[in-house]
Amino acid sequence: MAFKGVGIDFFTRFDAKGLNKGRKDIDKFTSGVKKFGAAIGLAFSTQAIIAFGKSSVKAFVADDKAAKSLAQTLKNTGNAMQTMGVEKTIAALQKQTGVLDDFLRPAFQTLLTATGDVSKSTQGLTIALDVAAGTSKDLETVTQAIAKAYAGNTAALGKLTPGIDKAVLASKDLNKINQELTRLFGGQASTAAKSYAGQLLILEAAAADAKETIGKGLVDAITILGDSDGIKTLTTQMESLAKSTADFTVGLALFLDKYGWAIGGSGTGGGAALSDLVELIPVAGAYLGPMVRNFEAAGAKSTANKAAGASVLNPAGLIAQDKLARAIELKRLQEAARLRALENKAILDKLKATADLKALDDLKKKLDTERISLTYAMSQATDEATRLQLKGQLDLLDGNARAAAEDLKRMAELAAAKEAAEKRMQERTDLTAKAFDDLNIKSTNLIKAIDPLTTAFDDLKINTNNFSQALLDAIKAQNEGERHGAAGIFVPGGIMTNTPQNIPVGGGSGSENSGGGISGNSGGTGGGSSFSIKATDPVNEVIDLVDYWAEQTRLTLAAMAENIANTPIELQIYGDLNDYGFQYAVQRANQANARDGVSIAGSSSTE
Amino acid sequence: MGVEINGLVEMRRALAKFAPDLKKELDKETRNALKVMVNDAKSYTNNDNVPSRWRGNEGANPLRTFNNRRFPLWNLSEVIGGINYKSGESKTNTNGFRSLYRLQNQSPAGAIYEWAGRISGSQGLPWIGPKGDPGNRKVSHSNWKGAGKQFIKVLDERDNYRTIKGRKDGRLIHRAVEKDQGKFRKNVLASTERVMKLTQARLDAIPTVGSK
Repeated sequence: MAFKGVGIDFFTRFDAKGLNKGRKDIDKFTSGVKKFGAAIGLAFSTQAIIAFGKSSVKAFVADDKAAKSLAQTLKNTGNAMQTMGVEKTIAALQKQTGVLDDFLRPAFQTLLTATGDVSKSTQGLTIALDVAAGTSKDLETVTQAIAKAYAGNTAALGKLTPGIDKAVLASKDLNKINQELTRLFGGQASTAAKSYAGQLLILEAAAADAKETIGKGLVDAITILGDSDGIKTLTTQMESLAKSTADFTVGLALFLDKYGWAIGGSGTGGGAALSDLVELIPVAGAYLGPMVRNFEAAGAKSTANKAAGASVLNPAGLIAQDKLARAIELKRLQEAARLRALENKAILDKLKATADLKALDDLKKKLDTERISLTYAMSQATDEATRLQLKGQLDLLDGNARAAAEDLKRMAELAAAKEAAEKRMQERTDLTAKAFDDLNIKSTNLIKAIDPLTTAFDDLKINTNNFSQALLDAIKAQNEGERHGAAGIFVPGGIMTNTPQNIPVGGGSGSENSGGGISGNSGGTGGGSSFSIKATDPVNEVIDLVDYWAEQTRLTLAAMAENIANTPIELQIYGDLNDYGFQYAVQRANQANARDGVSIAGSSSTE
Repeated sequence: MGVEINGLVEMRRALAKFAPDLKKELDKETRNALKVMVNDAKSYTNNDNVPSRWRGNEGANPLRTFNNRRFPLWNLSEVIGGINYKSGESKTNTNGFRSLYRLQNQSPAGAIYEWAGRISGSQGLPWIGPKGDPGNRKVSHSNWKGAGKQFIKVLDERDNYRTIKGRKDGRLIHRAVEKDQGKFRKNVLASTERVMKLTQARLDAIPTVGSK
């Protein structure tokens, strides 16, 4: 239902249309109830009561016979233990479908005879009910057809249900036939039961059950009242009793009518008991009511005993049997209670003893000084070996040999691991020392290679300085000559005639050139480079000289750099790649090399 | 709250037949009077008056309880849209009454805000939890046992524990009706009376057949 929210109504009025309709419906219902009451009154007239009594007994007898027959079939098919379950199933089916157990029992019996299996028969009965409801055939016909089909003869079922798949019938497979029937007729019985006709059938079934129950009660009553004179006497007594009962009932009806008592108007459980009616009798009712109530209770008890298998022929025996059963049950309960008490006591004692022992052990452990010192030492131990050793001692104190053995084993493993680690460490240390030694030798060689270069570079620096000084002196002299007008070193025409002797011009001798200029061979450390200076004026000559020395310097430095570059530096460091410390060192070295732009060619190996 | 009036419906039917213009005028006046209450009720809605976590997408971190839609979320526009009126005779309700006008708060959240704590009291409904029968509307299905109590407490606090004639009543339309002080009924009755007189005058003005 959709949510409509809340609201406030204004100007409302009462609409009595619905109420009037409801009132009419109630009146109609009341009228129906009255008619029903009249019908009941008619049914309980004298003759009707006698006839009802007889038919009730007959119904009970037939029902009893059918039930016993079914029980025998169950016994014959080896399903005697399931008799109660089958009866319950049949009762439930009767309530659901309205089909009387008078029909259900034979149907079930037929199917049980064909299949020999209770569950298959139950399933078959359910299907038969659906088919019967769907085809409007009687249950007996349908059941017989299905039973024949189970046995392999499917002709009857084929005729009964024209729509059934012939291939399924031909297969003669019980499960397939059931599935096909369920497909065609599934739910028909429950649908039919929900219809008005079905509801009436259910009501009828309930009435029939009630009839059988009443018949059963009558038979029990007659059996109790009768003696060895036979059934004839019993029948006479019954008729007499029925007549008397009928008269009484009519009289009672008149009485009730007078006092305005309605059916279902009082009493317990929605219906009136006979004792309730008797209590309505003025004065005498107060005495008779409890007596009738006692009769009802005795009757109910007797019926229950009968249902439990006891004989109704000997009430005194029944009482004695009941007392005996009660006494045995009481004794059994008392014995069970005594045993339970003993068991509880034993459990409590055991628990207490366990708790006491545990408390003692705990106290002993707390007061044991050796244990205390060992526990303290263990808590202070920094290495695993010591801790294990102390734990082993504690285990020995506890007498726990298994734990002590485990500690010992663990200690041995730790010692072996420690020794192996030390050995590996020593090997790595030796290898590292050797690598450093090699590095030292190579460094020494490098220094040796670098030293001459340094010397040469120093010489070159000195010579350069000398040349610079000589050049400055020459320029100074020339300037002074020009200033004084005297001929100096430099001759007009730009020809240099006096080259400073300490200028390293390759170690070779310079030669005068008539064309003006200086030429020579470079024999310095650079070696192999020819030079030529041609200048027409002093300034250009100086520039040429500077260029020359710059070139020489470049060549010298290049030779030095090549020499250094060609000198390999090899450094080998050995370590265990499984060692986290070593791994960290390698990682840091790689990071530093990457930062400095140094590439490392090498390899690592694991052992 | 309802007042039983007989003959009003029949009178409206007669008006529709003999003086439709007057019926239209009466309806218009009634609608205007109803609109006043509707607008008043709408003005009482405010996001600040409800717990922020009940406000769903509008609020911050809506409660988990409110996320699964078992408990309708507060949405201001939806609540405002749900407050309206209805005129014209209704169907017969379960108690056998029919009404001519109805002021209603139709949105689920609006209805909750209207009546929270008014029926169950300040303690909320008895708690049964989310696993209880969802069809049972007389119990609280919240995850937390104290949710109902807390919810009602917050609403009451923000509503200043307002009462109508000494007792807690609805927070929106009931408050609007209380503010109206019965003017709506008086106006409708006065308008009806006026219209009836006018109609009677018109009917009287019709010359009787055969008269001169």
